[in-house]
Amino acid sequence: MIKGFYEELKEKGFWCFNAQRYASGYEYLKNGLALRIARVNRIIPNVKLKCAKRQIDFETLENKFIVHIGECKLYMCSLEMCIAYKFYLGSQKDIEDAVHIFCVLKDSIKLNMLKRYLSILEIDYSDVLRFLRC
Amino acid sequence: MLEKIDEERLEFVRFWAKIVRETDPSYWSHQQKTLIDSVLKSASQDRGLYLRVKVIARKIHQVLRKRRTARSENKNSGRP
Repeated sequence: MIKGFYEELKEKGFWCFNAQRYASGYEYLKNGLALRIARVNRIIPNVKLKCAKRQIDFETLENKFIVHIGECKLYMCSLEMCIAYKFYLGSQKDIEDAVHIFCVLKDSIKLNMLKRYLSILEIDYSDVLRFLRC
Repeated sequence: MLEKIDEERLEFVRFWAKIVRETDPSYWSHQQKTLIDSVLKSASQDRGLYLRVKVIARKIHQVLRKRRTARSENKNSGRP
């Protein structure tokens, strides 16, 4: 199956640049590591592909929503999950991303969902609240 | 990690988010596209360097997470 995936990537002009052969790609995924995929001979921008493993991964897949861009469909994680995960990562840039998402889309964000995801990621809601103002 | 956040930078993010919310997308989206296109154009496409940086970043993140978890456990147990 992964061989077919690699062939399709190549056919469409993409490559997996951290595991260039399908056998090593399989090993990466089996060991819980992510594959990085970009346009051929380029590195940036890229996407990470990994297998769902933790509770948070399955929750994200279950609660995804679809963004329609012309004829294309883009599956996104929920806004609350985006914000919670950014706080989990925790760097300056990640917190800035979280505040940006929150401030631009605050009317659509469900605080009870945000609390739930923060709790799964073991982040204190009160620590996060001091940043979430617009 | 969360303790060392530069508030001035966050204020600018809030300022920009306000512009995005309160002005027509035609005003800010072109500026944003120009910025993103320029960043992509000037990005290093060195595979080896990118992967090395990612390994270092992952190690730093693991250390910081361990520290944060230890702090949180100490807080919950009442230890200083």
